[in-house]
Amino acid sequence: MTKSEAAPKRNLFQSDAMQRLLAFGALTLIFVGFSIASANFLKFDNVVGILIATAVNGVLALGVTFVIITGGIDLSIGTIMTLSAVMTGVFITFWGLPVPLGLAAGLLTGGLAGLTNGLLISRLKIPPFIATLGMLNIAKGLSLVISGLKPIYFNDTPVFNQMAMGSVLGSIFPGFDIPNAVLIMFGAAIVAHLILTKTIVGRYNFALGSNEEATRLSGVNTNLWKTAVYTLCGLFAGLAGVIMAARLNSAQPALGAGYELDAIAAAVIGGTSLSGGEGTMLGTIIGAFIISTLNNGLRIISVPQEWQSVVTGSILILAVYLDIIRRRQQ
Amino acid sequence: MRLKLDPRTKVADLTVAKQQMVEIAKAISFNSEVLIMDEPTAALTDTEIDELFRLIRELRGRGVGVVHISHRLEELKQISDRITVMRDGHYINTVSTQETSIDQIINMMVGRTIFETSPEVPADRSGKYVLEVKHLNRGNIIKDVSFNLRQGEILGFSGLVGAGRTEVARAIFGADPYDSGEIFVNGQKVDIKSPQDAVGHSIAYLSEDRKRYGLALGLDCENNIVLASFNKLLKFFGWVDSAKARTIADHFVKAMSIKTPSLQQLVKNLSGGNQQKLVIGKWLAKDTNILIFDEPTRGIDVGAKSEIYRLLNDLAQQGKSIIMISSELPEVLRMSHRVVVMCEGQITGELDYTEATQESIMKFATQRSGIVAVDN
Repeated sequence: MTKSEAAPKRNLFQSDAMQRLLAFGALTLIFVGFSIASANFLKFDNVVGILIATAVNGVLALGVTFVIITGGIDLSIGTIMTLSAVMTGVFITFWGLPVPLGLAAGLLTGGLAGLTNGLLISRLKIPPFIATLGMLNIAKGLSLVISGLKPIYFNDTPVFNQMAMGSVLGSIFPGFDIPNAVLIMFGAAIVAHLILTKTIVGRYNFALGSNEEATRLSGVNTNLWKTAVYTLCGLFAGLAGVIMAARLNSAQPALGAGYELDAIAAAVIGGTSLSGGEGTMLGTIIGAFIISTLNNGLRIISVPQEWQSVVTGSILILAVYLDIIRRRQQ
Repeated sequence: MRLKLDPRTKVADLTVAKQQMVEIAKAISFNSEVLIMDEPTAALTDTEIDELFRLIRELRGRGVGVVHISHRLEELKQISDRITVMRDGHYINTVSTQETSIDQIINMMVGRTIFETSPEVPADRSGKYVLEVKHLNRGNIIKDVSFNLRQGEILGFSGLVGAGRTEVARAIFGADPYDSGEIFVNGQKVDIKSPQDAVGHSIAYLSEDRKRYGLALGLDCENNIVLASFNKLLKFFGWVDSAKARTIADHFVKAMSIKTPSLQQLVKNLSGGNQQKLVIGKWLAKDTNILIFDEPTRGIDVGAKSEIYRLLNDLAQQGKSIIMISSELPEVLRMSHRVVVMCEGQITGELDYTEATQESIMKFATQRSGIVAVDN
């Protein structure tokens, strides 16, 4: 007699959808809380401020979500972002090439850096932490070298800045001046979601994170797909770099290091498990918004800026802990 | 112990034989009254074994009780006073070494079981060779292994645990590298360096550890079933035809009576039998011609076992070629058209189903080549 198929069924409370619902609920709570605390919070300009502040981190977080789902990590996304911004500056400002070419250069830089990460990790078997830590430093150094230690400005090509800070939406719906960068972020989120849920990259992504060896023994070229995931992450970092350069109207070679931590925090708060095999893009975006909303709200109620990091870190720990408890009942 | 050794030598730099001597020296230094040794002669040459036995006899003379675990029956005949036989975790008997023959010991090691039916052997046994392995070598683990597999055949791979069968299978499947040897599929020499290559040549391997190597436990049934078949599900830009994936998964869940509430159920929540069926389903979905099953019914209840036996026979009748690695003698006898027996990395015997018996298999399974089982 076969033993009962009784699987410890996960109840609704423990499902993935619940995780995202809770994250969204938390975001709503934070929003409501700050609205009550300050009349200035819900003002249009302030909300737009939150949206813009999330744009760069959001795109970074989307990219790194892919990597974390495979059970790996990418510490280099911050400096890859900067390197991409610098390369965009080189193309547009140093070499005077058309803006679209500059955009492509930025994205490609990110992709190449990601590809390098992927090859180091999958072929040379270097642990992701180490490989991307090395890349973090290499990208940082290259940014400084290539830029000549100074910011690269885009004053000659105002269309570049307009790309991010102008508002297509505002020209269609007067008064609804949401900067393009925000639309780009949401667009990137949709693309990331589609890649993760509808394409083979996404399916192999989860397979690698769930059981890489079983996937390899099923005849899948795991080196190839792992490399693809890291390359994808690099492309998103490149996009983040382009957005940041456009927003600041300059490529700042000294910025970047440190951004990866907020991005990883966003992914984890949004429900991406660091041990791999689980995660959603929607959750990551919610996580990114939780961080930027908190930062913004704290600033509005005049909490000193230093405290923002303390709060972000505490929220991160709290979010992961609550998730652990929620799953423990399985 | 008559060991010529500088005490400051690093143990890692010693030969295995010397390492074993060091271990024994450690045991003696405790002035133990009982010394238990588990397969102590596995890595030793004949000279070293003689030296080891001299030591054991000396310890015995001093009053130390020695438990010598081994499957090398001729050696046990040389060194032991009494022999205890165990089988499948059960104690069978203890006998005096002098008064018992090796054949009698082998008899105790095998059991009489309920279903020992004849295999469903195809009338036409002259199928072409779908797989030929020639002189496969990997260090000390695989030693000059050569065998063939015919189309439509179920080839049983028998032997004791650790005989090297899984290692051979993994080498053929590209999961582990090997030192030398040639593999031919359908008469063509092939170069298999990865599981991807093997699958490309229509070879499937179902690991003995399905939870660790066969399934992604955190993924659902659907994804596990199509895990090897995604290349058939691609549309443009890498888009996956999820409707087709679901159809394929659904087909195999029904065809193999896999009990799951839905395709979205996580595989870790399935019972052992259903998990194994799912792994088989994965490879059926991929539709390879050669399938290597490593302990296919381990940890599975009787009901599910017979389902799997029926499935294996169906596959063979459809023209698939199967290698079945199994340590369960009744199972091997029931299913195999031919049986290859391995011992310590080498193939020690090959039997047609007409000649295969539990005793004959066990004889080959406990035999080091070059040493014939002496019957006294």
